[in-house]
Amino acid sequence: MAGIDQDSAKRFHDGDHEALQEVIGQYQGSVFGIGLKLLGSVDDAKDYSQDVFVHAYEKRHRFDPERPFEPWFFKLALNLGRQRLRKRREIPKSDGMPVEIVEETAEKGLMENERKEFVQNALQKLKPKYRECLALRFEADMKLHEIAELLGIPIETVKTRLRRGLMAFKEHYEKAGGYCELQKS
Amino acid sequence: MNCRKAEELIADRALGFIDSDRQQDLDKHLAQCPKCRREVEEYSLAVQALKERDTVDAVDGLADTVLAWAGSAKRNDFRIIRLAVPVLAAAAVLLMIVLSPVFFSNDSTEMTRLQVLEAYAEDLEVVGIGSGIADYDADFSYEDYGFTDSLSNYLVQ
Repeated sequence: MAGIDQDSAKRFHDGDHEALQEVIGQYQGSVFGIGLKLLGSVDDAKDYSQDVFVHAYEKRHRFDPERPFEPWFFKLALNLGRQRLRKRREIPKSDGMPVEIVEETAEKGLMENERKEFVQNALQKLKPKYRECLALRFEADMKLHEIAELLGIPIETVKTRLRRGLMAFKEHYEKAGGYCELQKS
Repeated sequence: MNCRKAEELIADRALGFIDSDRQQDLDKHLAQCPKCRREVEEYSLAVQALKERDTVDAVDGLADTVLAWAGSAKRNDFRIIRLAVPVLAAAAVLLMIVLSPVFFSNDSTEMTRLQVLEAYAEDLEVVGIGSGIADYDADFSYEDYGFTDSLSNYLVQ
């Protein structure tokens, strides 16, 4: 992922609104994706995304503009995600309809929504520590050593979590029938 | 290599962190195991599902909301500063007035020799040094107590 440059990061630190806009534009997709993977519903992920950017702006003075922006930012995002999960005091519910259903009459659209639901359901059955690693890898496009640094764990542990997370995800996704939907679409 | 170990390597490969040695081992296993070859396909699809992003609509309006909040937060900061300056200045002036006796008092803790003698007058009477302090300036002399002239003059000064 091509993140924001150091100059923008410095301006963000100084409270520049244009820099804030750049940060939002650059990371809103990743943050939303992390929120969706961690929390499991579109509404929660939207709310979470807003929370992340507001918090980042509020706490911008804690960011050292001489250092890279992304580790600080994603650490903050991850902590907020954990905080929300703790508030729920349970693993997010996987029943119901977590993925936003828009009015869609075409068969392909319905299948697409169904498949997204399978993905979310399978993700929510994973341990949070596996979800975190998968979210950082696939949503924040972080490298193994970056994830290790951010989480404060060895690289080998990151690999193990990713491997186990993927294996568990694949199993749940398969049980839910996700492969059939993916192959159809 | 058994299928369980092969599955771990397949997962690592799908995640992009298998090294060349383990890749070769896996390839050998895959060449003779159709079940694991299907696993390769399924892991690839699983990663594809995890990678998919469909967030553009979902975050529509996010930037506007956050920027509007940031704008109002900045105004609030200015409002707080604008109010805080005169309030703090008034508090400082009030504090100075309240504490001024402490800083500008002329009270001295030093006592004159007469004051000391008056304070101990009762004790002096007990030990028999005259009946009062009134005669002190005129009559008192250390010579009465056996001190030399020069020493007496020094002590009286």
